[in-house]
Amino acid sequence: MSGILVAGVGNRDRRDDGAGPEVARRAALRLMPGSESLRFLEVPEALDLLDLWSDSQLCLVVDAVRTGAAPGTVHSLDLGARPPSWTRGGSTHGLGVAEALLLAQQLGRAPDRVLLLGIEGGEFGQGVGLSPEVERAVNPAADRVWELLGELLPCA
Amino acid sequence: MTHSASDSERLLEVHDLARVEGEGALRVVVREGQVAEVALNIFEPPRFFEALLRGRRHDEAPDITARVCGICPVAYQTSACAAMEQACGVRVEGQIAALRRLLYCGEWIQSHALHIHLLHAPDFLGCQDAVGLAQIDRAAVERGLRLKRTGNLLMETVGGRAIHPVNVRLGGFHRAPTRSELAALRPHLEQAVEDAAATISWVAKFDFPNLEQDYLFVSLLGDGLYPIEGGRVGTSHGWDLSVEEFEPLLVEDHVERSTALHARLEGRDPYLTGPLARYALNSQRLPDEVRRAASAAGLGAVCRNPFQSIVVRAVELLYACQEALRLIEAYQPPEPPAVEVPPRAGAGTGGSEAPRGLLLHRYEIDAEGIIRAARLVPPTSQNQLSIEADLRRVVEDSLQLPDPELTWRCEQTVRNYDPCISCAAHFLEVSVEREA
Repeated sequence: MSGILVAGVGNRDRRDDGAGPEVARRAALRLMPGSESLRFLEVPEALDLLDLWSDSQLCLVVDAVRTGAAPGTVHSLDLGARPPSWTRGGSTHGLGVAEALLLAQQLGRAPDRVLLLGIEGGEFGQGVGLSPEVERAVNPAADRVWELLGELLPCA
Repeated sequence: MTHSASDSERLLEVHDLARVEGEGALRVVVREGQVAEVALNIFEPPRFFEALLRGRRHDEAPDITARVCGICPVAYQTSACAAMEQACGVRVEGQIAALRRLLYCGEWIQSHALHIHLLHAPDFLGCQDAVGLAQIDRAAVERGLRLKRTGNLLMETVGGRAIHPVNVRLGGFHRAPTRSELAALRPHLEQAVEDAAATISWVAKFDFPNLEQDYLFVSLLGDGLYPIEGGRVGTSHGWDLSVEEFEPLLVEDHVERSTALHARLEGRDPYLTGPLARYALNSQRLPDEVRRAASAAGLGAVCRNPFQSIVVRAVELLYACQEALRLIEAYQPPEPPAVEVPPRAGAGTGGSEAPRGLLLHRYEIDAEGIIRAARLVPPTSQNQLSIEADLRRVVEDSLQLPDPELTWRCEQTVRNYDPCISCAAHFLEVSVEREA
């Protein structure tokens, strides 16, 4: 197991749920050639993280969240052993990032550390395109991805 | 969350019911020991898509409708293609049709594996969720994830990606996979056959509440094969109709308390679609080996206990794995990978068996191929009245249970249907009220 995974989780066809994939995509544009230990991926279903985590030491999950904060607010936290309740659900069949992490921990395939970069969403209806508030948060969130990577991997 | 409103009225509420797909609310009222009200209220995104489709080109329908749902996009693509091809007078056969069936097997495998292992089985084993199940039976969860991965792999290989496949078009596919690409799936599918057989044995041992319902079953009828990607429509009261003959008999009513439509046959009879219906009307079309596995699991030719739908799903899971292997063995890449579907003015109806039931599409297009009318009828809309009827029976039969257990049983009853309400789950509220 080695490497850092930046996983943008979400469905681009459900408006602000696409914030995770979009932030990961924009952050990946700044990736320098030769960074084999660093992967950026768009992940439609949180459950798919289980397979991706099997060869990742650290994971930065970028995902849309709903905490009641203003849309576009960027949260970051270390999910640790007991992810907070607001990180549960909100994905296919209610299997969100927290459930995937708890399941991975139970199955012995969780990375050493999982950080969550959450972008507060406002609109989760059918359709493509982020709400204006979330769109404005995408570049700052991509900056935050690299700040966090700098802390995790000084040479990144 | 559970609380008592007063001595004369008991109110139970469970927010964020897990392990279902979509948004909705369930309300059960028990008055003087009798079930006074059962109402499943859900939101129905396909209504929005029907309006969106009007004015679009006929060849856009498969990709647009695939986005109705992240769980069963192949079902939407297949029904859309079938309807448009019929409208244009084009028939897709041979290896292109076989490739569609193979792609659909991938969707059945990943959807059934997910529902059986991670969403439904915890109900029978006293677990809160898949994490709890992994604590007591890690091997079962690993097996479910392995099966789901194989389904995803099949969808990626044939469809281009596992969520919202991009390789499907009217008349067939943009690109046909090579024989060697499909042959690479064989070891995964052979393992999946083994896993699916183990899954049947596993779920057959669950304790099932004793409930038999007198359903009116509706399912496609396979032409010699178990139905997946098409066929005629059959019912347990003897209908055998083409999908275009059947579609106008399916009448949907708007119910004030819900944004969803409720479907009835001829505007009168509620009915059931999905695994129990498919199995009841087609079990004789299963290969001998699969039928033997079903029999060993305690299934007869017909199963009327909704809680045993998990066993039927496991049987269908085994079938889908075997069928995928058979199709790969016989595969010859079609050249070209699609037939042309030039537009002409007309109407067409297409139906296929989504993992959770019959999905019908009907379109009217003009001579330029512009969509003038669209109708999408998803399985969960068709099953709503049966879900409510099941809930009524379950509550009537289980009034002696304390509120938490009764509420749990109600949730489990909804999950029997693997309801797919929309493509992003938020919550389904369950509330049970008891009045003295």
